[in-house]
Amino acid sequence: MRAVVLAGGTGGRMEPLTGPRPKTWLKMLGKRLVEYALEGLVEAGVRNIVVVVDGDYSEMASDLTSRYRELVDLRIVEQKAPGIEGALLSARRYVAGSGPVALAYGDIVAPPGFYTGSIAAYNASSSEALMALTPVASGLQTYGVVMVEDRRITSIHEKPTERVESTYAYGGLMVVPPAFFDMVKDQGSVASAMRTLIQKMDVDAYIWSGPWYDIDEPWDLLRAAVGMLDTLAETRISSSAKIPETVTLEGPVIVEDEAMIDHGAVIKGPAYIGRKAFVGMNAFIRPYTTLENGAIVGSHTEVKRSVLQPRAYVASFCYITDTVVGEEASVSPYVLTLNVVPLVKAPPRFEDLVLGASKRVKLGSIIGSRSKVPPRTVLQPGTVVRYGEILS
Amino acid sequence: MCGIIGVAAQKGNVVPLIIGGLKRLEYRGYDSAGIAVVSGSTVSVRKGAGKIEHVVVAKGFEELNGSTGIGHTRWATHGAPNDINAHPHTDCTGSIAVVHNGIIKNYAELKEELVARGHRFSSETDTEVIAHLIEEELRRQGSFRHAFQEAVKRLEGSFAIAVLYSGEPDRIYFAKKDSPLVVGLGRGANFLASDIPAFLEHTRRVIVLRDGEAGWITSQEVHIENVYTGESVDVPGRVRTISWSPSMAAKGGYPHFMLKEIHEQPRALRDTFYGLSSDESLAKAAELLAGAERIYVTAAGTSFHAGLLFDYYMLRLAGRTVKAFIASEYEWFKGVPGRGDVLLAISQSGETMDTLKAVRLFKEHGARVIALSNVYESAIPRESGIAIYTRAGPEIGVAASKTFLTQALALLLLAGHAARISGRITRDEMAEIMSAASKANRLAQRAISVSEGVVRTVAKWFSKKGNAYILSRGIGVPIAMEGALKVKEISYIHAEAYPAGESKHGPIALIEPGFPVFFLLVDQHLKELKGNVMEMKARGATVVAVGPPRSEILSESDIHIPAPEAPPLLEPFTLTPPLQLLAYYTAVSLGYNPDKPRNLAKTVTVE
Repeated sequence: MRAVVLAGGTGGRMEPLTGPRPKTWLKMLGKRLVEYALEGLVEAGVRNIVVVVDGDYSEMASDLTSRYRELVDLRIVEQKAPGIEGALLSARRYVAGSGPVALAYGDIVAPPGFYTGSIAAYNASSSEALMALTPVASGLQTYGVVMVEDRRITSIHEKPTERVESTYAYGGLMVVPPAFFDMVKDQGSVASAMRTLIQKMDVDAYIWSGPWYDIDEPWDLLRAAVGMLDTLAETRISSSAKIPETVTLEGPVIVEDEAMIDHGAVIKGPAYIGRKAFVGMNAFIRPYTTLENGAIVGSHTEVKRSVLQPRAYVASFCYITDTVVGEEASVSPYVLTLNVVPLVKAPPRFEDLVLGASKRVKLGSIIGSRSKVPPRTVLQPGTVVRYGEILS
Repeated sequence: MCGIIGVAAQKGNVVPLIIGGLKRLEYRGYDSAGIAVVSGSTVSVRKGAGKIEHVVVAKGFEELNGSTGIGHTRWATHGAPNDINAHPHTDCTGSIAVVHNGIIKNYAELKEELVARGHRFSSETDTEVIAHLIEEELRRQGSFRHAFQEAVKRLEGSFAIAVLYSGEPDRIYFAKKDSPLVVGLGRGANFLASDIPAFLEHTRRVIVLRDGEAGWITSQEVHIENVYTGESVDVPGRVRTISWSPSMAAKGGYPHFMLKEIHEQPRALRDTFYGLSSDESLAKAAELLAGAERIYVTAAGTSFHAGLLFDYYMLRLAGRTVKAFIASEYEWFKGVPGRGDVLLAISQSGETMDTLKAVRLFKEHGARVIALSNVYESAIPRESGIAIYTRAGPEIGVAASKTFLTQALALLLLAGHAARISGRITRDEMAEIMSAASKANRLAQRAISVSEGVVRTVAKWFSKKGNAYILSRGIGVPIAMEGALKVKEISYIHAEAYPAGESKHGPIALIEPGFPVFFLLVDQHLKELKGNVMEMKARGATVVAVGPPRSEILSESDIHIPAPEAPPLLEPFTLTPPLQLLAYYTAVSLGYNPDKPRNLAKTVTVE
């Protein structure tokens, strides 16, 4: 089987974190977002992959090519026209001919089973197409919602404004005949091509009930980190990590190569400490925190349920909770993030984190990549610091 | 549901391959089995009733030898499971052997026509007409291929067929409509089977056939065409490589049988509805109930909860009271039943020992017995005067899911007919019930679709709790009991069901802050339920409302698990699936295998 991975799109809502680069270049537990799709497809036996990219992608192209060259026939294609339609049409000529094509989205965080399961289900079916679906609890209005009858897809409702009798979100993976790309070209819209596909042929539903996160806005990174860390079963520490005896590690924690944790730091899992990340003296890393490669947490700083992108810098004596800190952002000493907002103000997909608790949700800030937050700043809940912004 | 397999090999004996395939298809049916092989130009058939491994020995399958053959494992629907009704079936000359999965709807008229033309039938099955029909066509057509095609075109209903013909000893002919059939492409052998696991150890290259496709395999070639249009199929273009392990293949890609079976409920309900619509036993059973002096219903476990639904349906529709009792308590009834009484015995397997004992006791007292089972001609149906069947297909998960809802549907139809016969409801009212019942499958599908996402998240929260109440009123009470049983069985969380009004007479004493209380929202009782919700809230319980969005309840609830709107009497089809999913996802969150709950067996054949 061949595959197309859509990896372009800086994503308007993601802009504070991505700037000019594709959002699929963001990191989650040591992997680029796009790698979740690539690894899954490779594991599912796909040997021929077209990755569609745009924006400032040169670093991404060379990196992916060098790392996946051995595993698959990988082709990086620049997106020629805007939108998802443009992306699909840019890949069209590489998937012409016969045989099905797996169409995957590079901004989905899910384990390989999502891909291997979907493609295996397609191979065991007589249907010409398959869509992977996943049951979601909240924020249905932000997804493509799919109606199913007896394992067949009957309709899809893109970002429905009215209640649809289904909790199945389109999972960002389908297996289609090459004719699908012609439908996109003829109809000029992926949504209408999907509707045509459902009308014209049998489209199987593959219902995936494992972890699955669509990264559409910065807060989704927090949800994904929590969900993926929840599946962590045991501690794994690289032999090249430097961890003195005075450090306390509790619960499942991953510590990658050459990470450094200084005296007296306490790390409560589930947590992820990336390659060459640094945790300062007496810092407190609380559950559901991920430090991507080169991220720095200063001494005496407390971080809870937060995502630090590569080389993010949080100085000493800070309190960072429920927050995403972008790549190479710089947070000065004594910065506090406040984090309690009423449920009604929470992003739509967030409700599933607060079930059974009070009607409040905890959200800190989005601190954009390459931004600077001055000392002693108090960031109100839901604050967004823009890409490269220097707060005064 | 039955299982079929065919193997065409270049050389050697295919009998061991067929027996191996049958064993892997046993989950599709296991009341009888059979095999046919061609050797030289003779078709030899061996078949009999019983479990595959016994039939193989008793009927000497391994004495046969041939390089082309077919096999069948049966789950009876037309005709009792006995040696004669087992497949393969042959024509008058014994040169054509047929195995079939599905139901030939027009078999009665075809049989009449063929008998008039002098064909002699030996079995009661719908399948045998296929053999004679091909034989008849063969007289007119020049080739077997055309005779087979013409015969297939005349069949109505659902079928997956494999056929051997002594005149073409290296070929297996096949056809498929509405029943599954897969071609496997091996080295030196090609395969045909109802399901992939049957030949997965021999080849991973398959063509999953589509409706209307027919053709033949030999050891070297595969020919497929659309039997209705004559268009031939591009065989290489349709080959796919299976990446499933055998256990994943058996689960159809779901992580567990239980989730698969929960998702199969719409189909099981549809099959059960159509099966019962043409079943005369249902009317006979209803007549018996309408004329009964006293009505009893007995069962164990999940089936007992279906029995309680029957109790509710009979009261509401037929105005009759029903005494429902747990089967193991049958001894209490010694000396009680009389000649005019009727016992309804419900057992998925038809082998539940407690229920069977109750049946025997009631028979000794002269009562009439109606059986409701999912397994044709199993012990309880055999010992009962009238048997009606659900068509859920085999259920592998130990905790019942699809069999419960199919029982509920059968019992709704039974109560409806009984009410009509006794004149309690008008013809229009009956038509309304039938129309509502025909939509049970869609209600269940919507209930699954609309709740699964939410339930998955609620389960993560629920998995940290040690106890729960599930409360409702009216028809919701048996559903609550079934939900509590599922939660206990597979997630090992202590859950109890009560009529909501009963909670303040004792159970409420356990409520403390954060104690989970699920309320099943039944429209007829919303006002009273609201009062019960308030009682629980006042004591700090975490209230989970399960049902359609009813603002008066939701405003007082902490969590809402949505379910679709249901017409009266059909709430079991909308409120049960969310609870099954809750039990499933809670078990998975806790790391338990929901298919194999500790200390439990699927069929309880001891007292």
